[in-house]
Amino acid sequence: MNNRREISDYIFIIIGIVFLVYFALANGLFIIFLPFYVLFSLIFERKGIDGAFRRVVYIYGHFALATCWPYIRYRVTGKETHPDHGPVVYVINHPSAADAYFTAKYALCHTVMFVRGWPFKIPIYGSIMRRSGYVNIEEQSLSDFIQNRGREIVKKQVSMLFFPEGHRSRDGRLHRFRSGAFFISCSFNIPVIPVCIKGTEKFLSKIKPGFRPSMVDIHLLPPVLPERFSGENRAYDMKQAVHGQIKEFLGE
Amino acid sequence: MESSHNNVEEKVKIVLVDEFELDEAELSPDATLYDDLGLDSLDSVDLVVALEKAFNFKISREKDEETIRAIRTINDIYDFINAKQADI
Repeated sequence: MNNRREISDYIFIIIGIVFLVYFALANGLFIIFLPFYVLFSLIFERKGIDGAFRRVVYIYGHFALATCWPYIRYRVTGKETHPDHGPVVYVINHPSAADAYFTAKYALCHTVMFVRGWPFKIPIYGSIMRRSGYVNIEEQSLSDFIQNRGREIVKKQVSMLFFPEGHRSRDGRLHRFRSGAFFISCSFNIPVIPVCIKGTEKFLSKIKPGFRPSMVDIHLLPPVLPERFSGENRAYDMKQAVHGQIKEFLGE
Repeated sequence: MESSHNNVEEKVKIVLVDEFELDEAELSPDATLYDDLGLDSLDSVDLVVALEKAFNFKISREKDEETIRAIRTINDIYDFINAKQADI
């Protein structure tokens, strides 16, 4: 039995290596055309240089997932309750490193992600993230963000996306949430969209090696409005409520 | 008096385990919240709310600000809660 499991692990490691080479080549092709996408977006969308890069990231998300089909398939539900313009705050559970690729499938194009410092060090990705206005949570405090950059982001009607667990889940379960997203929602009076993602942990697991075929289910829960909560602990109460909703949907 | 202190310690540990998913074995009185337990400044805001709910009293963000800021270890939390309870 163990022997059979090891053999299947080796097969998925080989598939993983082939997949990585193929994905790197596909990315290379995308990067060749990157300046054209930026220029096109600058001319026709007029959302500034950061907006042009956000459009590129959005297109890239669709492109990256298209290159993985049918090895990775996905289904998005619950979009009918989603507002058609920003700003909103997305909060999403984080079972796998692959989760970020799926944002283009449910989030508005002009969305900035809140991430730790290390992804900014990834060649090309980091530079594009910085140019798109992504926020390095290790570089500034929440209060500074709310008083300065946050105002600009909201004024531009750009949405924000958080993985409130702070890192991907090591055991596939939903862990505690940090409060940052909810403080921002309450400070700017903008809705939180809870997003539940299942299946990415099968594709890129922390436990099993290699890449495995998977079906990813993404479900958007109805917006949670900060007006529903009152008092000085409203951000905390909102966090608990949203955590409970996502946990319930995930069946934990 | 001794049992009330034990009760405080138990409740604080429950808050830290439930709210921050910390391992109870790590919760020695000298453990520092930021360096040893990995909490951050935002967590301290959540900690205040969780303590309020667990002990059913109000912690004033203005009046108690200095004391809250000075909390570094779990022992400091015990002292803070005991002092608050003595005030009531």
